[in-house]
Amino acid sequence: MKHAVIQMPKRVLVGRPLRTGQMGETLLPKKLALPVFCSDPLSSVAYATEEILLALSLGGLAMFYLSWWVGAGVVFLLLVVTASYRQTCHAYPNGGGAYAVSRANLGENASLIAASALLIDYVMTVAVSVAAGVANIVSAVPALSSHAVGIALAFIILIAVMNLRGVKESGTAFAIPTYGFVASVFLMVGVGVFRMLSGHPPVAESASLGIHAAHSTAGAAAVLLALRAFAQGCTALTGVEAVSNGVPNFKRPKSRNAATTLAIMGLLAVTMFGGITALAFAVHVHIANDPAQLIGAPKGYEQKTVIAQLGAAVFGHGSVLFFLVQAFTAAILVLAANTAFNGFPILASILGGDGYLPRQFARRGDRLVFSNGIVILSLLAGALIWAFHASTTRLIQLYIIGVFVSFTLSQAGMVKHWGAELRRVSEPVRRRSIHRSRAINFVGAVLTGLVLVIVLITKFVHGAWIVVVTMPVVFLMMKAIHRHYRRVDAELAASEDDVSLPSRIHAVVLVSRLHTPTLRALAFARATRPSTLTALSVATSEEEAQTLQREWGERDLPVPLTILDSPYRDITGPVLDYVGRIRVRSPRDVVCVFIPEYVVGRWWEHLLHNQSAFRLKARLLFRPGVMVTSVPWQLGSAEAALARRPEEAGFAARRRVRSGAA
Amino acid sequence: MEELPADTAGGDGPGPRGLRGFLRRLTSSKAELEAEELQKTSDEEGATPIKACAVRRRACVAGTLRTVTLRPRGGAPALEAELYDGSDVINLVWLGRRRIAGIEPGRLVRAEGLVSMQDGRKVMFNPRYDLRGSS
Repeated sequence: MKHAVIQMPKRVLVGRPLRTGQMGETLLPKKLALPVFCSDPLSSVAYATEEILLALSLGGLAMFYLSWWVGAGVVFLLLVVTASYRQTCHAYPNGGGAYAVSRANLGENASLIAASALLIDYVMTVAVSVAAGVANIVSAVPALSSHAVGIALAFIILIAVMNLRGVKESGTAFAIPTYGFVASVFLMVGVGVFRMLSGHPPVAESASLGIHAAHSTAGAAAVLLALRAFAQGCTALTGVEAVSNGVPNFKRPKSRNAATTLAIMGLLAVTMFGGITALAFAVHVHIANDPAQLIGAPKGYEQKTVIAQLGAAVFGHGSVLFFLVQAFTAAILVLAANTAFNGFPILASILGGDGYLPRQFARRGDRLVFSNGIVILSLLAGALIWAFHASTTRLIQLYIIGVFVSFTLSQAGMVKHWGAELRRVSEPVRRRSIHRSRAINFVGAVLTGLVLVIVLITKFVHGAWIVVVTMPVVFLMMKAIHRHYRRVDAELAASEDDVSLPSRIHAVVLVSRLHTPTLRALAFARATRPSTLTALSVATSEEEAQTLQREWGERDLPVPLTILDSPYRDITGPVLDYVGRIRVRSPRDVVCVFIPEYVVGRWWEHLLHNQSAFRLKARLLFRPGVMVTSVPWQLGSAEAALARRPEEAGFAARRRVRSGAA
Repeated sequence: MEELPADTAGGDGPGPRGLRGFLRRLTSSKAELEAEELQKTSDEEGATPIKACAVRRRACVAGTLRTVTLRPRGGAPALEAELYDGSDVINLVWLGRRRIAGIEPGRLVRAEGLVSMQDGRKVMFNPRYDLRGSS
């Protein structure tokens, strides 16, 4: 019954377990892979523009003219990174993205840095995107703002459960919001452009507001501000690496499908980001890092997200289309987390397989997804959201560093990869294309490295140091896990020569009272034909010892009974002591301790039985050369428990026939 | 035998006094405490510490019976017990006896007889014994 109670909700939530042979059915066609892997990069266009404007607002309204240039820089970087990750998909079709690339080309340490960056990045992706989605919901329905953390946690649980149901299921469920978001953004940009061309340009509600400069904008400060805005805008790139991590999940031909999906995603992201940034510039969306910087804002004015302001300006505040844009934006922001839910378990499974994380991560669950990774990811992300009160801007500060570390490493790894290819290939046509690929990767590596440095400098004090501290911790943890696994493997490795047989077995049967379980254990021990056999009892009281001795004599048992003195009344100590003192003639002798044990069917019965037996067993297992044999005795309640489980009813029936044994 | 605490095995009387002795009494294990107490009683009985017993010499030992083993019927009847006095153990074997009233685990016993070696451990066959008050 206990079994069924646990089983049922799991069935309802997760679904019927799949056979391993059904693996092929869970692979993704391109049209489903796009929402699964690209919801993250596509969603980041929803807040990248806003991040640029927020950073620029520190320099006052005058700096907003820079948003063009910053936007163009981000688009260029996005194109370069997309192009180079397409090559990664072809070169490393087993997934793992930056980790696999740097492992093959840059060595263990670099790959682990990339892996720790990616792991942190995935956790951040979930936290950031869910927090951003909730922020958008709150923007539309301000009454919910006090429950932001609760809503965010609920979304994480929902996405985790969907992913536990399987990649394909979650992909199908999440396709509508993803495509809906793409369509709604294009519609918004299109209508906006049309209205501008037709002479009725839309105007944002914040267009009339001015912004105080919080920083000076003279000379170097302006450059620094622009760089910071660029770094903020680079959030638009986050998630591009997801496809290259998940190549094994694509339908055949895997690499080509993955590369095509990546190209589609790159084009969509570039046009959407460009459109939104241009529109925001055209309709004069003014947004300030700190609401106090706003000039001329009405009392109680609450800043809306850029997407919300654009939607209101283009479609009119309160119109159906405005709410549609809002709804799809919120949906895709929440779903961006889904990308991480696909990337993290795959990466964790690869790391688990290579022995850098616990091996359980490499095991597939009921629905052929890496369930352990999904569960761990949702726990970590939930903790992060809770700790940062679901605040997007505060979380994004942490976020972008991990992404760019993995970008830089994977690009650098690809440069080396092409170098190795060049030494191998001699046809001129092929060499030319390799040279071109290497150039792309080189530009990508330099640019992403540059962004990484900028981000580190400009954001260190804003919270980026948390990642800078966390990454080495994760790195060292993986190293330590690997060292441990390697040490254990070396210890357990089977040597050339066979394991020698134990020369003698000294059997010891533990006796507390003379009852059926004890007699059965004795009978079993005798049947194993050990070299020596002793029954062992500990005298905690004189009467008990005498009763036992008398009964032993009356039964005429052909086994010597040794009674141990226990001056301090404990059972474990004297037994351990005795086992240690058994005369072992050769190092190949072993001691076998038979422990009669009751098997009980109800949880509370565990509290009443077996306590000293369990303690003793736990201690004996640490002794070298000592084997412990449990001789179970199924109590009536255990038999009833067995009969309650339908799949084991056969056992129960056989057990009933046995009753007389021993 | 392997479990004997090294510093008390010599049987050289009570440990150091003062602060050091106090600290040692606080930190010593149960086994060390037991060994120390037993050595004291052995001294009071005027017995030889088992560790100091020479083989093939008569000796008088005193300590507690750590184990008592009942041989099953069938083979040659014998009662076996292990006497521990804090320095070492000696096996006491009473041939021809299956049970002796008072020979029970935990009992303080003083035994006298010829010490012999069997399989590397000291054995005393059919010792003369006195039962002392239970320890």
